[in-house]
Amino acid sequence: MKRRRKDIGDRGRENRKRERGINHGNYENHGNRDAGESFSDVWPQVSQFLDRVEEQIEYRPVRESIRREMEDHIEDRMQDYISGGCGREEAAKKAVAGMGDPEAIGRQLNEIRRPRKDYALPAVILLCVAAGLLVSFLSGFRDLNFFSQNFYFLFGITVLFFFVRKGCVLTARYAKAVSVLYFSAFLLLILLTRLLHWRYTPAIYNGNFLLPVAALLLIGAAESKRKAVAAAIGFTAAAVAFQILSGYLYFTFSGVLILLMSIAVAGILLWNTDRKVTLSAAGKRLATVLAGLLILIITAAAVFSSAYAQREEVFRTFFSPEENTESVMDDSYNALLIRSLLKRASWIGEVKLSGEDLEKYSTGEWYFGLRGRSESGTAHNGYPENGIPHNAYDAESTALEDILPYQYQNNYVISYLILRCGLIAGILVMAVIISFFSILARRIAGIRGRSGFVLSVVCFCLLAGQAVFYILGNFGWQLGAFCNLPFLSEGVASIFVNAILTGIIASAYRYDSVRNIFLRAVRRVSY
Amino acid sequence: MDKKMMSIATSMLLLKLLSEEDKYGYQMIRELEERSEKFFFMNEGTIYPILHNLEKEGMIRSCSRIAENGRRRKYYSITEEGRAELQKKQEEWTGYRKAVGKILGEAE
Repeated sequence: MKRRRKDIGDRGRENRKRERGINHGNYENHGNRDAGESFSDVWPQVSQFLDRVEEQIEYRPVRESIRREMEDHIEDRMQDYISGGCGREEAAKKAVAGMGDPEAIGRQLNEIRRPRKDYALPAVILLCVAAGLLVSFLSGFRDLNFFSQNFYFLFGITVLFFFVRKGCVLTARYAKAVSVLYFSAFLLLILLTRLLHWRYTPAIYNGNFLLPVAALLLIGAAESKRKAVAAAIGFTAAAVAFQILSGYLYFTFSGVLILLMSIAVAGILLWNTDRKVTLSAAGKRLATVLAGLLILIITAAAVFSSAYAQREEVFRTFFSPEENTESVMDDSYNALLIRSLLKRASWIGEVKLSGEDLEKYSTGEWYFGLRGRSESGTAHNGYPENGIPHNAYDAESTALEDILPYQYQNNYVISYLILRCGLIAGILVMAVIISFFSILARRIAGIRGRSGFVLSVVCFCLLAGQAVFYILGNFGWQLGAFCNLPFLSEGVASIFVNAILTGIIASAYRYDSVRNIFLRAVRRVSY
Repeated sequence: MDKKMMSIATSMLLLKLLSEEDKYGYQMIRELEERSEKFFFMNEGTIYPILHNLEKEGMIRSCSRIAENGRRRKYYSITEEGRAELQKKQEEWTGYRKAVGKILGEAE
């Protein structure tokens, strides 16, 4: 085993030699060295010192930059000794001796430069997933393929684990390729949807949430920031415009708001932090980012405020669903139904509904009957003449699940839990969700690397935005179609996307103490 | 001076050097020696854990740059947080020096 490690170490050293030969090639003044040979290779005592420092450092990716920094120091000191009249051998010996105890230095550096461990975040994520699975279990897996749901959760956890361990580093290393590939795939999907009239897929809806991440990576990786910023803004504008103009906005309204908010946050953070140093050193170019984002938001706001068919419906459903409710299939009706049921929730145990209550809720009479529609004579309990069927009531079999909105297992996880198990259960789940976001926020507050911080804040906005709209919907304030509740109520595409977003935050936190690893990978710089 | 005090004092001195100009490790060691007339003659390698810790704490940041000798070096620069910390440390140091001076009966 030891032999193998040594082989790997040697190969790494060989690679470093090659790199130095290519990148620097400025050691010709010291000793008689072959091309590509590093300074420490000529002076064994230097090499031994550096090896002893390196051996103390557990996290291998930081070893090279530490080694190089100390090697440069010794080289500078040697040069000074030689200029002062010292012989080369003696200069090397004195320079190494002046550095101090290599083990002690290595141990101290190891304390500082090792990835952070985090047990609270995985624990709270598992609690969220458990709560989501509990709801599936309680609902008896109605209308859901429980096994595929489970499978995708497993898949999501795997993606999350991968991103926590490798996400920040790998994504950064392949930032340009990843973002270009993402933008191309996303654009192709949008074009196919538009030209071939493909169904608007959850992949597009959830794929939107990776736009700011891909844009930040592209800006960080590109040689020409101006072009990257232009490309990022262009693609984002195209995606938003597509949703506004293609008639899908009712479904994607909250998603578009979350996306625009997150991009605006990214722009503001870049503006604020890049004046110091972040993804780009050029403050003026970042002024372009902000200006571009402002234009994007103003354009979107202009389109939002223009007359398109579903805008009023979206807002009416949110603010005054009573004005928008025509049948039991309306989102507005669902909002009113859930508000009415939640008012009757018990502290512990299932909401108490008599047979008569169940019948009224099942048929919609509780609402339409009160408004006198049943007297119109068009249908039992006042259903409109559009032929939309109401839920059949059966005194023997109708249960709570039969009176709840369609797909309540996905869209009303919290309210279902309250109605099925009581307010205490709902409060506990809300506490888990709040814990998840507060732990995420605390982790982000602890990230000092600016690029990791900006990326993490944007990912947080995207996750929290979804949760806010989802929770509002659960209490009867639905804005457009339902978002997903990260790790609790998910579809396949959203599991994937939310695992990536959370993974990026966790990864940025984990590797923050080996700071600059992200930036180094993006910029491919030596340190 | 014990190791901990030495490390705190060195942190302050390094922040002070970086508040004047971006510098790399060896440059800072040289300046410490010269400006203190060789009073601060430390094991040179010990500067790196201090610098890396300051960077971890967000007081300084680093980047790779070509030095005046034509070689690529890791330069450190002070952040806004670092400047605030330096200000705080300087005030504490001044207070400490005055208090010690009073006890030793030194004229201010």
